[in-house]
Order: sequence, then C-alpha cells, then structure tokens
Amino acid sequence: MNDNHVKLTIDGHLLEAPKGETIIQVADEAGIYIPRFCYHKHLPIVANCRMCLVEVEGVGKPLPACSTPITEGMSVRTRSEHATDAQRATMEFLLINHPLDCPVCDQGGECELQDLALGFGRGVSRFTETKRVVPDEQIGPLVQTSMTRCIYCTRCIRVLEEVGGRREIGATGRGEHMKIGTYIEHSINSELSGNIIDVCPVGALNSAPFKMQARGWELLSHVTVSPHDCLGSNLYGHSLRGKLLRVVPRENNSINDTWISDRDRFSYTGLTASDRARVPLIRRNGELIQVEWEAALEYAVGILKKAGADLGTILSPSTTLEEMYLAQKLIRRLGSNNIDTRIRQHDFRDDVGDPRFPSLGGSIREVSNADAILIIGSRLNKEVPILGYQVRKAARKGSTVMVLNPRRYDLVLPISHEKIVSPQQLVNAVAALVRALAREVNRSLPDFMSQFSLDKEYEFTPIVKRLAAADRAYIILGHIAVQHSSFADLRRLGALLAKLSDGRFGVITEGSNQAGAYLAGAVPHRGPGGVPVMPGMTARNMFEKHLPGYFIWSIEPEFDCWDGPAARAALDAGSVVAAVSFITPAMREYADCILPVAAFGETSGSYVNVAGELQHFNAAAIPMGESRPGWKILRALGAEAGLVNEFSYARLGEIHAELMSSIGGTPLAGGDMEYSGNWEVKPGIPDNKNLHAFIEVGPYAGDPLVRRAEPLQQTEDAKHSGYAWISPTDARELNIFDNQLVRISGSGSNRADLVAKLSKDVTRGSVWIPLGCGLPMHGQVMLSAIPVAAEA
Amino acid sequence: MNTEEARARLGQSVCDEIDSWIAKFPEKHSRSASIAALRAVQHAEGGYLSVESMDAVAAYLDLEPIAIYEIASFYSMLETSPVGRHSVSVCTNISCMLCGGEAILSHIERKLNIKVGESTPDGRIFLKREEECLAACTQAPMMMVDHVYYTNLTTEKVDQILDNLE
Amino acid sequence: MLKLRLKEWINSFLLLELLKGMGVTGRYFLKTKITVQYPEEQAPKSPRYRGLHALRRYPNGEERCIACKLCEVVCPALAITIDSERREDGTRRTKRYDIDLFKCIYCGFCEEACPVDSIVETRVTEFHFEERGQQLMTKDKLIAIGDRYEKMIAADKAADSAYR
Repeated sequence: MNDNHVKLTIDGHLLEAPKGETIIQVADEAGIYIPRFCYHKHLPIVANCRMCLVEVEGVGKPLPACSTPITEGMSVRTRSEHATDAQRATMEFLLINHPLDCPVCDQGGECELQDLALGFGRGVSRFTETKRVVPDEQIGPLVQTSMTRCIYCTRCIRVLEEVGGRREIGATGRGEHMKIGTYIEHSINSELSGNIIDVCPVGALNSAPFKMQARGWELLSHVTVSPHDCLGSNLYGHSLRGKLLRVVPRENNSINDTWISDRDRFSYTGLTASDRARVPLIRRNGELIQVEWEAALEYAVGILKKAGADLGTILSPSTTLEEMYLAQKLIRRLGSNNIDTRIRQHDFRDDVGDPRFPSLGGSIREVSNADAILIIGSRLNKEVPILGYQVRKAARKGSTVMVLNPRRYDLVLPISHEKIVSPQQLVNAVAALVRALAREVNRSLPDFMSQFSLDKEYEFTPIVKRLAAADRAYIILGHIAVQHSSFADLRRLGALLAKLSDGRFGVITEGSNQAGAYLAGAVPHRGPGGVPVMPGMTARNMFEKHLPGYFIWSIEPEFDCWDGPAARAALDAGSVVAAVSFITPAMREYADCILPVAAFGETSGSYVNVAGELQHFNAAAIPMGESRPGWKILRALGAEAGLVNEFSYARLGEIHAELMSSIGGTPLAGGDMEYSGNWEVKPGIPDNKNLHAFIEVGPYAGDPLVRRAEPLQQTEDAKHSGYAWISPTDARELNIFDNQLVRISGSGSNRADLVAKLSKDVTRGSVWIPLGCGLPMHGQVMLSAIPVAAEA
Repeated sequence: MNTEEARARLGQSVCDEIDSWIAKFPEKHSRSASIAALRAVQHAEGGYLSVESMDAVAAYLDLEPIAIYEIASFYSMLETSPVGRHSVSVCTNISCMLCGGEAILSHIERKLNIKVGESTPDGRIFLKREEECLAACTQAPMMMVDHVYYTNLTTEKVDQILDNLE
Repeated sequence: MLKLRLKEWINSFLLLELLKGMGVTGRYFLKTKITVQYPEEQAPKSPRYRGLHALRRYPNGEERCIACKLCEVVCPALAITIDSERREDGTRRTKRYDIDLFKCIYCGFCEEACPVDSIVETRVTEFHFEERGQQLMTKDKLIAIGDRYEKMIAADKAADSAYR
C-alpha cells in the first residue's frame, strides 16, 4: 500500500484513496452517489447546502461528505437510516421556500432539486406557512434570473470567482433576507458568465435566449466543437425538430474542463438572423436572382474556370478541415495556388520559416502548469476566454503572469508585471526584452538582432529575472500580435524569448481551424499534409493585386479582412463567387454568385485546435432553407468542373480519410514551434506626432455568426468596442472631448466617423477603432472633431 | 476607484484607523480588517454606509466591492440605508426588562417622538431597535449609543446622554 | 354413444330447442327495454368519459395552458405536438398545440398529467372528419371546443373532484 493512501469503507465497499481527498470525491470515483447541491468538482468546497450528510461510524452527528477528509479505517454509510433522515430533513428545509412552479420553470425536467427531492426527500412537507418571494436581479442580456427559486448553494458565486476570475455577485443580507446578487444593479461582464446557468442546480439562473423555448427531455444532443476560437471548446448542440435551440459544454479536461465561453454558448442565436443566405443567387442583368442549385453551380464554376490561375480563394479560418481540403483540391486542379485563410494577418515575410502548422507549442495543460507566463499583444480573456481561464488556473497554482501589451486591458488575471508600450513600438520593446534576457542568462544573440535599433530604453528587469528563473516559462503571442504589421518579427522574437528562458512559445491563432488550414493545404505555401509547395498569393496579396476572379468562403471581407476597404475595392473589380451563410449589403453589390452554406451546428466535420488536437463534430440541426453543408457544395462544384472521379465522395468520412492519408495519422501534438529562414527585419515605427489607428477586434465581432447573435451584441463587451478610444493627452492636443463625434481619415478616401472615448489605458499616438468601420487594421490617420452643426 | 482615490474619499483619520487594524492581521490578510474598517467609516460618515463609502473601503483593502457589500449587509451593527447620525438601541431582555428597560425605551420614544426603527426628522438620532441581551445584566437597565454601553440608566441619565449628542 | 344419438334424433322431432329459444324471447318481450334510440336517445355517460379533447380557460378568459409539455411527453401515441414561447406579457404559453386524433388512443393520460386542468377529454363523442388534415386539432379548435362545452366540463370536473 502506498504511504499516501488510506483505506476506508463506503456502504460496505472497501476502497483505497489518496490522503486529503474528501468522502464525496472517493464515493464519486467508486460510483456511489451521494446527493449534493453546493459541491462541484471544479469549484472550491464550502459545505453550505448540507445535502450530502452521511453517517460516519463513531461520529454522533451526520457529517457533510463534501468537506470531510477521509481517514484510515473510516466506515461511511450513505444510505443508513441516520444518513437518510438527515438528507430528508435537509431536503424538507430546502423546499420550505422553494416555489412550486416546476411546470413553468425552464429547469423543469433537468433540475437537480427535482431529482433529489424525488430520490432523497419525503413525500409531503410539514410547513404550511407562506413562502418568501425574492425580487429578480437584472444581470445582463444572457442570464435570466428567478431569484425566488434560489436555494443558496453559492455555486454561481464561486464559478464567477474561480472561473471568471472576479467576484461579481455575492450573498448579501442574512437569514431569511439573504439574497444572491450584485447588490448594486449592474450586468455581469465576465466572458464566462454563462457557466452560472449550468452550475445552478435549480431554475434560478437560466439562459435568457433559451427561455421557454423547449424542455430538456425533448432536445436531441449532438456532439459539436466551438467554431469561434482556436481552442475548440467541446460542446453539445441541443436541437428540437431540426432547429438548434441551445449550446452547453461537453466535459473535456484537456481543453475546457466543464466551462465554455459566452461566445460559444450564445452564438447560435445568430443562426436565424434575417440576412441568412437561404437560396442560391446569381447575377443576371445586374440583379441577383434566385435560381436552382444546378444553375448556380454551373454559373459559379464558370467564374472559377474563367479566372483560372488568377483565381483568388479566401476561406474563413473556421472552415472545417474537410471543406478546406476540398476547396484547395478544387482550385489547385483549376490551376490556381492562391488560397489562404489568414484573413487578419498582414505580415507574411516569415512564411518560409513556418513550422508544420502554427500552434500553442504545447498542450493546453502545459499552459496551466507553467510557472511563468508572458502574454504579448493579447487581450487574452476576450480573445480566447477558455485560455484565459487556463492561465488563471496557472496563476492560482502560483504561476507568475506577465503582460507586454500595446494597450492596457483588464485581463481579470493576477498580473505580477505589466508593461504597456505603444503599438508602433511593440516590436522594438520585445527586441529590447530579448536583449535584456540574453544578457541575464549570458547567451549570445542571432545576427538579425542587430537590425533592431536601440533608440529607446525599456525597464524589463522584473520580467527578465522571472523568465530567467522560471522552470516552465511560457510565451504566448495573442491576436493583437498576429494582426500586427510586424508579426513575422514578433513571432521570431517570441520564439527566441522562449529559447532563452528554456520555455515554450505559442501563438493564439484566429478562427477555430488555422492549424487545420496548414494541414489541409489551404494556405498558399502548403499542400495537403502540410508539405511545402510552390507558394501562391497570400490573402493580402490577393486583395492588393485586384484579381479577375474571387472565391470567398464564409467571410465578410469588409469586416473579416486586415484591409477591409482594399478587399472591398478588389471584390468590386473582380467576379466573385461567395459561399456564405449570411449576406451583407455590400455582398449584394459585389457578389456575382451566392451559394448558401450551412452554418455552425448544421454541418459535420473536424477541426484541428491550436494544441494540435483533431476533433470531430456532428451536425446538430438541419441547414436552413436551401443551404447545404459546405463539403457537399464543394463536391458538386468539383463534379460540375469536370472532375467527377476525383470528387465522387459518398460520405464525409471518405474526404477525411483521403486527407488523413496525406497527413499521416495524427502526429499533431503541438510543441514544434521552431522558426527557420531569414528575412529583413521591420523595426517599429518611432513614436512621434503622427497618430496611428488600430482596429480592436471585439470579443463579439470576430466572425459573421457572433456579429448576428443579438444577445451577445447587447452585452457591455460588445458596446465597449464601438468607439474610437484615444488617450487623454492626445485628445487634449487635438481638442477632443469625451463622447464627441470625430472623423478618422486614413489613406485615400478611407475614413470613419466615430464617437471618441478618452481612456488612460490607450498609449499616446494611437487610436483604437472598431472592426468594419472602413479603415484597415493598422494605418496612419488624421483625427478631427466633427462640428456639432455638421452632426445635425 | 484606486487606493489613492479611496484614501481621499475616506479621509486621513479613518485611513489611519483602518491601517492600525490591518497591522493586527498577518500580511495579505487585509480582508480581516473589513468589519473594523466599515465600523470606522460608519462612525465618521453620519451613521450609515453609502455605496460610495463601501466602494472606497473595498478599494482601500484591495477587495471586490461585493465582498464589502456582503459584510455590510450581513452584520446588524452596520447600516446600509440612510439613518440618523447616532444609533441608539435599548436592551429589553429579561434583566433589563425587570429593572425597567421598557420604561426607558418608552421614555425615549416619547422624548424623541419616534418609534423603534425610526430616525428623528433632524437626522440626529436613530432609535435602532430593542436589543437582545448585550451581556451587561449586572448594570441593568442599559442601552448602547454608537456602540458604546451606558448602564444603570434612569430617565434623567438618558435625557442627559441624548441631549449631549450633536 | 349410440343411445345418446338416438335420443337427440327423437328430440329433434319435438322442436325442444326452438321452444327454449322462443321462451327466452318471450321473457325479454315482457321486460323493460334497455336499448336506446340513438341518436334521438343517448345512453348516460360517466363524468370521466374520455371523448373529444378541449383546452380550457380560466373564468377571466385567460387560457389555462402554460406549455409545460407534460401531456406531450406522457402521450403514449405521440399524438401531441407543442411549441412553447414567451408571450409579450412574459408568461409561458403555447405557440402551437396540435393533437392528431388519428394517433390518439383516448387514454386520458394528458388530462391526468396536466397541472392546470387545461387539456381535458370531454364527453363529446360525435365528431367526424371529411378531409385529410381535419383530424389535426389545432390550439384554436381545441380552445373553441373548450369554450363551447365549458359548463359541461366544469360540472364533470366538479362531479369527479371527490375522487381525485
């Protein structure tokens, strides 16, 4: 017997478990069910519901199983008369004030209180007094409250504290007057707030969009994966009669534990948006008209073939692996190598030095086990909420979290050292950090480092000391870095930082399948299996060049591409086949053929996440209108293009098998983040009088589906992104006030009229603007106030 | 609100008192000073805790505001809605009752022309409640004014105590 | 064996069976009649009779049904289809309430399951369909039936309440 183990019996079963575990943990492991409300395996133990009372031999009173540690020789009885009496009494107490409104309660049928009342309660209550009523809380557009139903288990409080990172709600008052809530009415702003719905054992906290839509028992559950971020949180899609009505987490302890972000949970509400593409459309005499699929496919292939080698294909990075594979197969057979999914990347100088696929450089568990984490250029908690949670987990275990950002963000993390530099100077600052670290650990630097000027000194001592001392350092490059115009240098410097601190380095990619795009061959320099091929044009080149034909897949270039205005101009000039799920007004002007593609939840496929994990998922709903799953559209396009034999797949699995044979099994573990090759360094832009605009991709602005998810758009996070954020110093110099309408003019006729907001979190010389406002992601701008008269 | 703003809001003397309490607890356990801090603020700010003053305490102790709201709403000695500046509560539990505590209470009610649970219109005195035993039975009857005990009460003594409150 | 055959043969000449049968007829000829002249006359029905379905309202005119879907899930023939929604006043209501009377086996489970006495099976048995699709009782039709027979339904419920 192991020294760290103890032996005990539960209900007569002899069990052995590690010291320090509690009775309920051992019982759960052994499959012995003990009723509980407040206990949750991923949350701290508080033992305040008293439902898990059990009898322990030699102890007079029943003990709570969730908080009683096991001891050698302990004998526990969970179903003895003593124990069941205690459980029944607890249940009777809980039901004193719980309303009998199960028929109208959304939790009805999947309610822990209902189940346990049936399993462990008594048939009747001896209390005839009136029940108390608690006013409901308004906590935002996502969670609907019915506080009268609350049984004060405090799971929601602990979820927001432990998972969300901030105590946003609490239990105020006491006794009969105790209330769960925010005290001062305000919305809960955590990007993980939806998880309180799942943990609530009663119907006090319910999903607002799902309210009164269906019952738990009639929904069909389908395995699916998040399409919104590179982690690929595991989900269940719940559908009723072919319609996706709800999304809930699926436990996966190597990715998301039992939590998911609000974006994953509520994005499905966008599926029924009014601008959903429902029928195939083609342009005839300048008008988009509805046609049969056959006619649309023929028309589309005509455009693709006409463009031939000059065709530009831009896919969403959240396209499934199979669709990416078929798309590249089709267009490469038509003679074009121009295919890309890196729509919000601008700097492609380091394509030659790419690893097999961009990744986190390790598993997600390695991030949560790191002892020093440096986040560069990232609003981590909003970009990839679950990765933010994993870093939070690391911090709770004692990891030092450090940040080097071009703007101060509240990451809801215990940050030890934070350095804010202007976005123009970001690359220089990272170079300075590399130099300081090399000095600290006494290592020489590669030659290219000399190309970075030393015009500004940065104080990095605490960060450097910590990185040098760390055993398991982790350098993470975020979306702001990926979108940065010096991304190639940032990536090389980040990898160098990891090398100098003997740690790991990872990039948070955009979309849910960027790694898959490399493996499927949907990037210009990689073929199927991720093998290097003769490079075609990148997404950036395709829009800068004005090609005769474009094939866009599930993107809205005016929002989704690095240079929206340039993309718009290029698409206006060429013929465009748009395979999309939603039709924007601009698309009605430039698209010559619109093929309706099934959206999230309506198609099966697979994604490769940023840690290299291959995950399959199934369709949960029936594609809306005439839309079809993407792989079927591509199969039909292939057949229409005369490649009948090569596109004769009967099932999705055949496509997957064909691709996997070129990838060669699933050797996809991350970790390979070596960068080779050489390119000329692009040092930062000096901080001077010029103002530079940077687009902030809001958490609920990143892809067509979330932009249409109405409840998400009503959150404070979504509203926060809609302004031009500028530093108070700049504003004073430009004579601009808070909430004033300003005009931001970029190169050419690019300009945006926005409401200015002053914030000390923004560095001097930069202005942060929302996505889709008519300017590229980064550029020098002029800012001027719009006189009030002109406003009217 | 950051620490500096909180300090400005609370005032130097209150901050000094909070600091003296923080010093009594181990490092990084400033949360333990919450109750003492709230009591100090309540005395300094007219007998009750406004949301801003609670926010200031939270910022000063580096806690989430809700943690302070929880404490303030839990303890009966802390007031979270506007009441009179001076809190008066009379014990009417058994020993005090036998020694005339109820007469003292009705005397105060008559004198101030308010009922238990109300404040005088001029915002001077808050007649908080009939207190259960405060463990001063040997000197009954007793009452508590601003968390200070006054014992062996007579109506004259009560008049004097109440009249001396500003 | 032979003896028995012989006896039968002789008896057959005496027409004993015929007389026995006529005896029964004669006896009932004189008794009170229990047959009724349907449809002019109708046999009495129990208040628990399970006939045509109806959706009831409260006396103030508000529909009772709260879309809890318990009747839908208890229905052994899967004859009931409900879509729920949040009505403008925030209450939970049905957007669709269909009963397919071709599927229904008139077991009365829906009535048993209903927490608000909304869906009931009335005593009405006289209904017919002339076209396909008419067997699908929609919410409007069911509520109209409820409105028409409310008096009778309420009386039946009251009569049976002592046994519930």
